Amino acid sequence: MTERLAWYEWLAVLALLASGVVIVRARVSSPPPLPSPPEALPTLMRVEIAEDGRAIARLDDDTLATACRAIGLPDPPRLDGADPVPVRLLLEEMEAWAATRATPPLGRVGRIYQAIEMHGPALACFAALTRLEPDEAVWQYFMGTEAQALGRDDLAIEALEASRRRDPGDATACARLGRLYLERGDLDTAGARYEQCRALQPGRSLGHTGLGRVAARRGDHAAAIEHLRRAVAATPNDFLAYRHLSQTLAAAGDADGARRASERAERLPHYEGWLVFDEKLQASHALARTQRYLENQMRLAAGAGDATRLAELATRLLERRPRDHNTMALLATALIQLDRTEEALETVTGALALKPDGLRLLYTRAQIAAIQRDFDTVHRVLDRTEAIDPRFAPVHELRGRVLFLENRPEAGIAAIETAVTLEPDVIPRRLLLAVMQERSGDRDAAIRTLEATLAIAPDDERARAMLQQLER
Amino acid sequence: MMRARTFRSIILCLAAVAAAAGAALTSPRRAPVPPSPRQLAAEVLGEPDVRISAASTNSRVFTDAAPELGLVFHHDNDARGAYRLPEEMGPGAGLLDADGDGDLDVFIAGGGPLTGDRPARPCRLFRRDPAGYVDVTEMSGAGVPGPAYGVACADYDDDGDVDIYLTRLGRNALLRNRGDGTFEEVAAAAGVDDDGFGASCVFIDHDRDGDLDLYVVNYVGWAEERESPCYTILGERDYCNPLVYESPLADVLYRNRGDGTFEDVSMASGIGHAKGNGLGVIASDFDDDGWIDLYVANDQTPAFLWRNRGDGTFENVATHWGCAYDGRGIAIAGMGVASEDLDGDGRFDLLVTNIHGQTNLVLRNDGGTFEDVSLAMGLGVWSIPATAFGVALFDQDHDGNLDAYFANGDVNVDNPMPAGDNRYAQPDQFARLENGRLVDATAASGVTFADVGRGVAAGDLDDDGDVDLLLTNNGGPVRLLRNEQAGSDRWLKISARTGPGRRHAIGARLRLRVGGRVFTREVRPQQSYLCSGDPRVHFGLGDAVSPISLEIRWPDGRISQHEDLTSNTHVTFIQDDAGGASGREATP
Repeated sequence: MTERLAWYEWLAVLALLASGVVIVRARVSSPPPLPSPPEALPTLMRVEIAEDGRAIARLDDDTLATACRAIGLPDPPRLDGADPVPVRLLLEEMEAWAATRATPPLGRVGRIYQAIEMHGPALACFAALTRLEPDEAVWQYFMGTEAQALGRDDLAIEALEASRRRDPGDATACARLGRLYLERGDLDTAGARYEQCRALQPGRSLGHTGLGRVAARRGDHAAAIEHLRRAVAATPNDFLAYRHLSQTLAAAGDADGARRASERAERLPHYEGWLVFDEKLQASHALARTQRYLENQMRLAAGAGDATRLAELATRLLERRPRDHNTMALLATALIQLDRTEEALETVTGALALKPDGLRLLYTRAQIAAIQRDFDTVHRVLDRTEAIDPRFAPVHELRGRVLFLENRPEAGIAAIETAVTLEPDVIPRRLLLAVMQERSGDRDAAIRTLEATLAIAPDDERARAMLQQLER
Repeated sequence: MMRARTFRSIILCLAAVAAAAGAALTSPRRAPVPPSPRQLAAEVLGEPDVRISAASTNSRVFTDAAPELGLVFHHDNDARGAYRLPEEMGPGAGLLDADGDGDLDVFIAGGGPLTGDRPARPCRLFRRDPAGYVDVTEMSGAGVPGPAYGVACADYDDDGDVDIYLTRLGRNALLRNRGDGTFEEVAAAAGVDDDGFGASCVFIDHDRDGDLDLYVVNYVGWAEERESPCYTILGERDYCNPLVYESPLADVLYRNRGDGTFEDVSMASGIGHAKGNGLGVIASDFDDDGWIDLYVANDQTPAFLWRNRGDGTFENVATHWGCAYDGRGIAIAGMGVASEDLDGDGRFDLLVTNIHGQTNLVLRNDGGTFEDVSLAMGLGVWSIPATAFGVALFDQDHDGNLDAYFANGDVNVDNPMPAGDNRYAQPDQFARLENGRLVDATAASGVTFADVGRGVAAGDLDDDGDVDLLLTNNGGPVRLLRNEQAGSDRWLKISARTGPGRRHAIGARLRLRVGGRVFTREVRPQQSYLCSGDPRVHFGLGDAVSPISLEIRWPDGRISQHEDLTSNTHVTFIQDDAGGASGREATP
């Protein structure tokens, strides 16, 4: 027991003691792996009300950038002055990431960036997620979409192919790949990817359109037209498919068919790129709750004639943009369709207080007066509208309708004719003119109007049916 | 003894473990810090694929010489937080020899209030003197009030001096040159005072009757009352896109009667039957049938390609020829447009500038059809964040290959390539055509200008044989980019003149053959966006050796041949009555 320790044994003891100090010091002085004050991020933002009544986020972009670096996130874009709704969501998800280091909040940060079209930071988030969760197809997919948006096509192809291998049933990934290969001139691979898309979703236009484009690039117009006709049959409101059909018909020498397809394309509501086709992208926009998302949804609701949905969306948007008289006009239009005339009047009156000379607003005000059979007000408001812009055709149409209701058919017909002259391509207005002419006893004029209509739109079945009826 | 040995062994083991643990904790390589998303992203993404040409390492390609030459102009865009569309469109400019002394003077479209609540700002004319530019606006009578946009310069009345047509927000102006460097405004008397919201404009002899007709592009039917609030994706107030106004306009074609007046033939020619949000226009014989066609870049509505039928009428074949949309079927935000033979096949291809988020558009002319080759030509990563308006295709360094200059400046507050204090400012870009690709050479060229770029007018402003650029900026100064190309290389400058006034033969096609290469150009001062450039045709000859021969197909279809031209000269050819041409050489 009393045996003394050898010198090397004393060294070991000293080493043991020293290591204890090192361990303690290391525990005290090493920074935590990714330090962040979880509650700090949302407090970076405060909300102000702008002059036009909008709520806006105020925050120091430099401070946010520093915080992002501290927690290992990519540099954020400038967010000061932006809509507080997506900004708050973004900060909350950043905070959740800082607190948990879990992939779901990081994924949501990426998806919010994606929805607000900040493709650089979105790409960085998704690229990181492909390492953190390498088996998840969705991160590869989003990495591909963001790389594609930034023009980094090699990276986009690599990521989308990786996504497709992990999720072979993803038709949209196939379509995106088809487009990328087509744009670099690899027609064989483009055709293969579009064919996969078509096989996965034969009831949608994407694959058919792509195959049509590939065939057109090969100079096989007949095959291209066949594919594109299938595309527009599958998705009749796909204006892009109609445009490609138009170009291919033109190239094949069918000028009339090309013109009709082109006119059809321009009459369809034009949506924003991939948003309509891409459920994953739509989910990102819904997650971020951007105003643009609400606008797009309103456009789709308007195109589908869904006045209830349109009114709901417009109301939600106006909560965030209380002085947006454009949206007020849309809301008023929806309310008119829903027979909520008094509310429509209140909305449009409020909007006119903001924009007394707004053409659409005045027109909507006149529509309401027409519904209320207040014809004096209709004419007074239409006079004002016409003084601002005599070439605004809907004014003349509405005046024509009202004059007809006032038993002044000749004046009514003249007003509708003015509207038709100003906008010769609006077919329903031409049909209205023919109806008025026929009801006022001028059958020949009605026939001439319908013949002129069919010269412009030979496929219009209503015009043809009306003409046949009159000719009997 | 046994216990002591055990104790010692325990001490030694503990010491070893502790030492290892201490080393692990203090060694940075073993720190248990997981890689951050930033680090992981950097590993996955690497550097963007932006190719900077190794061959394009010329230092200081351009120098802004405007201040030292006295070319001082600051555009007033009347932006007062109301986000009104016309605020962001101008201005244009023109390079013309206004006083007939042989060098290029500068005309700049004025800005000023959109509504008459404060004094209007006049357009400005700067005369080129040996020492620099002199503002001669007042004495010349060229200072018609703005806001003005597009400029076209040509001798429309064939009296031997250059006149100016100007589009405005309101009635357009025609400044007739009296021959002494002074102007009178004669638009109403000449019948060309269209009152649409005009954009670019171009003089062409569309009916080949020997005088210059006029094509005017109209943008949208704008009125203050049509403005409505628009917002970015992040809910910020912003300028609206032109579709919001729901008021595309038809363009106007005026036929020159030959007596100083014009006749509106828009409807009779077919031009008036199509509407679009027009901004840029270029006149060129795209199908090589001897008749000048017109391509119109429309902003988010399908582009027009007006094929000249040769009987005074046009048909819009844009859809048929595949240039109404980009390759994806999108009606791009077409703004400026340039056209040259990019692939050396003798046909004129198109380069159309576009808004951020999409590439600028290159349409390859395959002879009656166009193909979108934007991505194949390299307009990917670097052109996507830019909103380009003005564009010039020219051979900056005389290597025989075309180069491209893009005047960038955003129209939205969510500018993805911001530069400087102005939210709309973006760096301009410069690219070189190398191996069939437009390669971003901005960094290597010394182009560091970040403005709200709009117009680019290209021309040899200092008559040293290379092409300089005049840049206009929205709400900012003009810049004169002097080409700093060294003078040891080979070039040729051609003037082709015709008619009683010996005006520049706009529409003439020039084929230059040298050293086995063929360069095809047209006399075409109107390019880019809202601008009129040098009517003289410039060729860089590269290392090709003589002999140099030239074929001119004059606007009336007759052809003249010219052999043994000398490089590094400016040669003027004047069409004679017999259809040939006499040559006259001059050094710069």
